[in-house]
Amino acid sequence: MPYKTLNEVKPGVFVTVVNIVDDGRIKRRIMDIGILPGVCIEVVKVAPLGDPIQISLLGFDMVMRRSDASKIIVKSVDE
Amino acid sequence: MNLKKKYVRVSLLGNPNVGKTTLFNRLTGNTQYVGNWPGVTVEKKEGYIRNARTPIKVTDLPGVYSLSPFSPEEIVTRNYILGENVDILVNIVDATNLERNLYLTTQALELGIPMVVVLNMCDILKRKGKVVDFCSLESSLGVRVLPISAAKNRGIEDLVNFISDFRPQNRKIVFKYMSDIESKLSQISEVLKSENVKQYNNRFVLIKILEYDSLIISSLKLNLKAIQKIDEIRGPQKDIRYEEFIASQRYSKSSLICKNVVSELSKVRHSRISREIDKIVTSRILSFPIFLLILFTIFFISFGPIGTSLQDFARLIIFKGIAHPIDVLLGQFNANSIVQGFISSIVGGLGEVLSFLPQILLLLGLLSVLEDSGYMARAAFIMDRLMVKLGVSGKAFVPLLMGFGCSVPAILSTRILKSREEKKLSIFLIPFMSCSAKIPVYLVFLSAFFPNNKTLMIFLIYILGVIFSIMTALIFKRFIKPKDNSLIMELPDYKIPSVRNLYLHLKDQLKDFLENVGVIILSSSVIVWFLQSFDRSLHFTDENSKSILADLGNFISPIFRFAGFDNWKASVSLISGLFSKEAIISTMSIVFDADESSLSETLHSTFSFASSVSIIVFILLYSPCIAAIATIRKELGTKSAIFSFIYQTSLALVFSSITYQILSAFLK
Repeated sequence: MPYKTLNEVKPGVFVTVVNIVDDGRIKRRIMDIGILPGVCIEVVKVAPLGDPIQISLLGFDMVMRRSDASKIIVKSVDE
Repeated sequence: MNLKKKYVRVSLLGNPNVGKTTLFNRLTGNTQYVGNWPGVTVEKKEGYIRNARTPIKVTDLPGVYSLSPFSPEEIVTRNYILGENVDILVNIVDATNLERNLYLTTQALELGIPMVVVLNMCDILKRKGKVVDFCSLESSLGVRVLPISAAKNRGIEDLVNFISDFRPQNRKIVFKYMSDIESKLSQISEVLKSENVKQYNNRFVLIKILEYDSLIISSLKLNLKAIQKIDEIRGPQKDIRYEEFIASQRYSKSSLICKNVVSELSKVRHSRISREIDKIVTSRILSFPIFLLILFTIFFISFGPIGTSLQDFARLIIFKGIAHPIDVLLGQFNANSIVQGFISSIVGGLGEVLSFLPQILLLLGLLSVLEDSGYMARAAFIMDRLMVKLGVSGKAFVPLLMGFGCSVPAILSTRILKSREEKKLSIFLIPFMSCSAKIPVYLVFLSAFFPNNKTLMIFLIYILGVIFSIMTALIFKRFIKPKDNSLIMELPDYKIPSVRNLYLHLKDQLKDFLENVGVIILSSSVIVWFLQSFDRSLHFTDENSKSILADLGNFISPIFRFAGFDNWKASVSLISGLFSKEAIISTMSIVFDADESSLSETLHSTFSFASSVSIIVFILLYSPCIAAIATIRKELGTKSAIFSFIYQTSLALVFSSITYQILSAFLK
């Protein structure tokens, strides 16, 4: 499957943002920290209890819950 | 410049954790505490630049990623800037994260306020083998760019000189959106012009109108016709589409500038060292053991041999070095016995409280070091899943941990939490984190009843508090539900905790403590001494069981009957604890007429094993001090403050009674 949501991406994998599917405050929040179509994100790791996840973009490390990550549609960098 | 505006008003704007507060301190010579935790500045702070050619007033604003009205800090920052409070905007930019930071810069440029960009942490960038081309950054942004290092105090003088000599000049718009959006912006501008709105030329306002930012639109007080016209211009597009277009164009602009001005941009710039440390610290297997080890170490250092010997040393100085000589001196002068009694009981009470200062500073210092190192954000990361079960996010972990120091700053720090519901829930939980002021009280009782297991018992008391907070959270989260369950948080790099930060933090805490001892505890000691030395007809009495205080205590003590400490001495001590927890000890040493060495012994003869455990439970749970209640009122309103008072106190009464009844039944 070419498209995934960010919460399905395994640690260590680089992906590109395709779209953000939410239409409210969370989308705004996600966009404000620089997650926009075309931006490259690395999923760094998953918290010991499985949630939240640590991602890296624009040289910054961020922490985000899976429920937030599930709103971000991404594709693998190679495809 | 007219006479009313005496100062050049400068505001610091920037992303969280880029060094705004450090720069603020450098500029104003102020000593605000700087944390390695995004969102340390939750309120604006003001200061003045000394030694500048023109008088300059500096305002430090909360760090934001964007000027959208999403979070409380964004609203504070945005309202301040839009409120025409600013003559020059100093946009502080982290050179090591230029791309992200320039996103805010592109928005700030649209405000039309005179602006200068200061590029912080150039030295760190250089160490990573990269350089910024200032000239080309200046021409890309259309404003002056000044390199500084706030941490190393470099370039600050240039900035002050620049502000002093600043003359407003016309700026060209360097950043245009795609033509479709630009034409809509100029149409909106026409509408505003025809409605005589003075901001018709402000690109920021125009863009926000296009994005349908309700706060901005309502502030303009447009009539219905104008709003209809704007709706027509905006067309059938959904609101979020414009935001998205504009945001993504801003980012691509930032990214383009960044590529042009920074030479050698590697793919992953996040500090390698932090990643390596995190491989262990937030790993699946070791993260929780490390977390517990850190907490245990802090407790062990504060309450174990190190803390205890520091305390003994303090007692030696206070009682042998100060209190005893005073007594001897009074005896030599044949002072009046009332005066002598007054002075020795006040000195004894204050000394008792002061002797715990080293231990409290040790605990607060360790918490400060932990925060400064960047570990708190990791703790929030690993704890989030568990905290969610309690109805709060991992971020709420920080205010809760700070609650072990003092509830007041802990309650204030809940401002980093996004939703009001989460904030409210966290604030109700904070009083269960046994504050450092209660330590002396526990220790006095524990020395009497558990002389060999003090550290373990203290640990158990803290755990009990945590258990109560968990139960409270599980009940309250049904009533206080956050609107969305989102958590998006920055993970700062680790850094070596700075001595300066530690000093600043402890200085503040020491000041608070001494003010507290000086004002509240001294005055409550005087009042308690007075009430216990005089009877109802205001005659001096040696038997304190006949005093006004005894009457007062006897009046209240029946409510403690089931808890086993229904004597007037305990009752008045607990009441003085409402003013400040340290006052419990100073009051006890007055009413039991005991000095440093005999207080524990006296308690041993007054309290039974069961009633001493029960009073510890009561002290752990009952209402926080006046300062904390006032802070709750400030943050959540009167109702919540009263609620917290009643909830904590009734919980304390119920559970201390249960404890006493069970223990005395078993011990029979």
